[in-house]
Amino acid sequence: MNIVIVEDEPLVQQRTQRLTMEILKSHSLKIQCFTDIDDAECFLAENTVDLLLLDLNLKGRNGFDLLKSKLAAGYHTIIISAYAEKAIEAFQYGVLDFVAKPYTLERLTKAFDRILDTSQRNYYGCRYLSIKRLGVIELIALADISHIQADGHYSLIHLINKVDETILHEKNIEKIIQLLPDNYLRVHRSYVVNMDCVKQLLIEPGSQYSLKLNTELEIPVGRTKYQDVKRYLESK
Amino acid sequence: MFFQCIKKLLLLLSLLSMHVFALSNEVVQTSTATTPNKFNEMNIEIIKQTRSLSCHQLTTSDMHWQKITFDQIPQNKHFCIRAWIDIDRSLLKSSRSLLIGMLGSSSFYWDEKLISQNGEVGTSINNEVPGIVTTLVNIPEHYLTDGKHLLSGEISTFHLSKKLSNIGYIFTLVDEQKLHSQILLLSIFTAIFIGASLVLAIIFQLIYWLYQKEVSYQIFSLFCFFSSLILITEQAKFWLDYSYDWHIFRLLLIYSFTFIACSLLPLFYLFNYRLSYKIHCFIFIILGFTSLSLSSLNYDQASTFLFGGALLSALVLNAYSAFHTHKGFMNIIIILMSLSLLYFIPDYFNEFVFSVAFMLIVMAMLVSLIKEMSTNKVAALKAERIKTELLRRNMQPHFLMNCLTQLMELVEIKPKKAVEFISVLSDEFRQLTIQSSQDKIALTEEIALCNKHLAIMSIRYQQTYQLDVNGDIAGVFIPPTILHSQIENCFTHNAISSARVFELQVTSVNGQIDLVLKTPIEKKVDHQGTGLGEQYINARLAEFEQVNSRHKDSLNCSFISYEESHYWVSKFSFIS
Repeated sequence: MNIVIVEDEPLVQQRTQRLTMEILKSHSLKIQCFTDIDDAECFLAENTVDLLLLDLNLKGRNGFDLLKSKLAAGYHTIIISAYAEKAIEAFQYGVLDFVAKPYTLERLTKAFDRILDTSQRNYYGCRYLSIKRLGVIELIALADISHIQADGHYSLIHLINKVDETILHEKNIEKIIQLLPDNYLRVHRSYVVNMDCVKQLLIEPGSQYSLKLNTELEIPVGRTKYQDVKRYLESK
Repeated sequence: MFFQCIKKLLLLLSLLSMHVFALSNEVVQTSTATTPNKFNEMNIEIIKQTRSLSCHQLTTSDMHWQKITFDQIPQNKHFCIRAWIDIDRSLLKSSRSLLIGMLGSSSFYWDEKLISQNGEVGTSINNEVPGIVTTLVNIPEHYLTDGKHLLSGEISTFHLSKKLSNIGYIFTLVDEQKLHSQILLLSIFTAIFIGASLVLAIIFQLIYWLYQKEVSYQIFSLFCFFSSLILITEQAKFWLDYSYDWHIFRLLLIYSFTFIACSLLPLFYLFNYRLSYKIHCFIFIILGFTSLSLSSLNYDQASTFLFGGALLSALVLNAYSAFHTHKGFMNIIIILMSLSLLYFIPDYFNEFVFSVAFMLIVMAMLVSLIKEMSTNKVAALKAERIKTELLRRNMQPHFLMNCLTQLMELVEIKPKKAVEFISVLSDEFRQLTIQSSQDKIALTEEIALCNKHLAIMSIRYQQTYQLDVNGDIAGVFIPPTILHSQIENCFTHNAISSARVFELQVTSVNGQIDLVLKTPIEKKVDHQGTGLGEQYINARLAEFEQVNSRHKDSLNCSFISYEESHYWVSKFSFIS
């Protein structure tokens, strides 16, 4: 597992690194430490990174703009910051977790659990996905997304009101679903659907299932996922 | 709201003034055509000691005597006056009394019968016993028969120490009841004013001594006090039966109080508007007033001119202030109202006009004062808020949380270092708390505080930060935590990785002290200079300026900051 730590205070950096190694001692780890996000940029661009542990000065707009660009990337980001009052906003933009300083071993363990256990969902109210389009960071409101389709290491985001257009996200579909709230359902190996846009569940001959969306598109439902989908629609 | 009140008040006053003038017109003696029940011209003869005069006998011929009106009676003389009056019972509605107001001793006879004895008439200052100024003589009902009657009086006026323009004020038949109710009306109004002014004087003394020692509060209090004194002495003629030799003293007293009150009025605006050249202006105004006093005007005229002069100078000061600050237009309007009151009501120094004008002015002054108090209060609150905010910024969660994270690590890894860090941290907090509550501190203390902060930051970033001080820092006093705030700011806005230098240059030339603080810029995260830090510094400097200006000479503080070759330069100047 490749982890990047960005922290400007040497002793705190040492702490984060020490605790990370302790928690993930059963994994093969590669940890890189930087005192500054700009210094880390080069490394992040050239290497495949799984997780960014970021201390960010979230005072003012600059900190959040920087954060959004990290959130558009393929790796997960966990914020470790003294600005605990900014946690809600950070969650809205799609951080995997927000660890407030000062933090203990137990708190950091919880954060790493979210990486390791992909079935855990974001209960903190992610409202946007940050994406990078033509080099510009944009926010997409979750309510505007109809479904997300896996595309190798990336994902394709389909919007409700722009049927022909898809947006590429650098995170794979497993990572994205971790950030999404409960109304997004993994209905197929390659599809995550916004259940608020579903018109009906279609059952075709030969135990073939699919979901008809409000946009008239039909999304295949995996055989193993059928029960989940049915249960969700019935409970609604 | 206030303006409407003033309008209503004016309306009420104009109604009142009509009453009072009705009174004056009736009382002031008219001496034209022969009208029943009124005195016309009177005949006068100076009594020479050498020959005796049958002043009161009906048979005495006074045809060849000099004819005068009552206000022309001579001063420092012993004389006899005779006046003939036509009584018409059908026109005389109720019983009548004789109202006499004059500076002299007298005995009056109605058709050879004594009706009044006021003091003891004498032939010189030695054997004259002075009578009181205003007397009301009841004329028995049966004396007032239809037809011609003789009123004769022997008068001596030797107790006058100064030549006056006239000493006979009033001599007429009045309806006693009506007179009393009219005097009451006038008295109530002046009494209200006297009471209000005295209360204001006391309130503002209390405000001055217990709340804020602002000079304008003291001046206002004194102004109220002296204007009520003026009216109390003016009113003395109604409630104090003093003998006429005290009259000049009373006039002098009134004039002195007027002089003081009229000097205080422009002085108030000089201080209220914090104008420069206060002393020069004040001396100029006082000189003007003094030359007025030395002129040959009588007391009443001089008082009126004094008051007019005071209003004019107040008008000029207000106009000056309004021109520069666009405030105080309301004051100008009120002063103009008072001036026009003084100008258009063609009576000489009349206590009614006087009290109305003074009341308007007092209102205007009160409004300026209350406005000033509220701005002072807002400024004080703002400074207080910024002070607490800064204190919170140092002990705020972010700073504290970062330090605590560090402490957690130290406790787990190097407990001894943790103890060291805690002691440096608590040192800074303690000193910051003490210094923040003061107006000024020694520069050496401030530098010590800065060093404590640098020590904390050195541990946090594992660097060696140092403040290099150049120049003589002994005996220099500055507002507290201004350098500290800038050093703190430097860490919020920069990540200072290498061991960069913090520099403080102190120069002192001809009473001007300059502090130049240079803090390094590594990588500018945000623009400096719009934050709370600079607001705090400016508030601190303003407070420092005010506190020092009150104790000694005026002090000018200035603060600028700018970027210069990878340093953030903060320049403080203190010019005394």
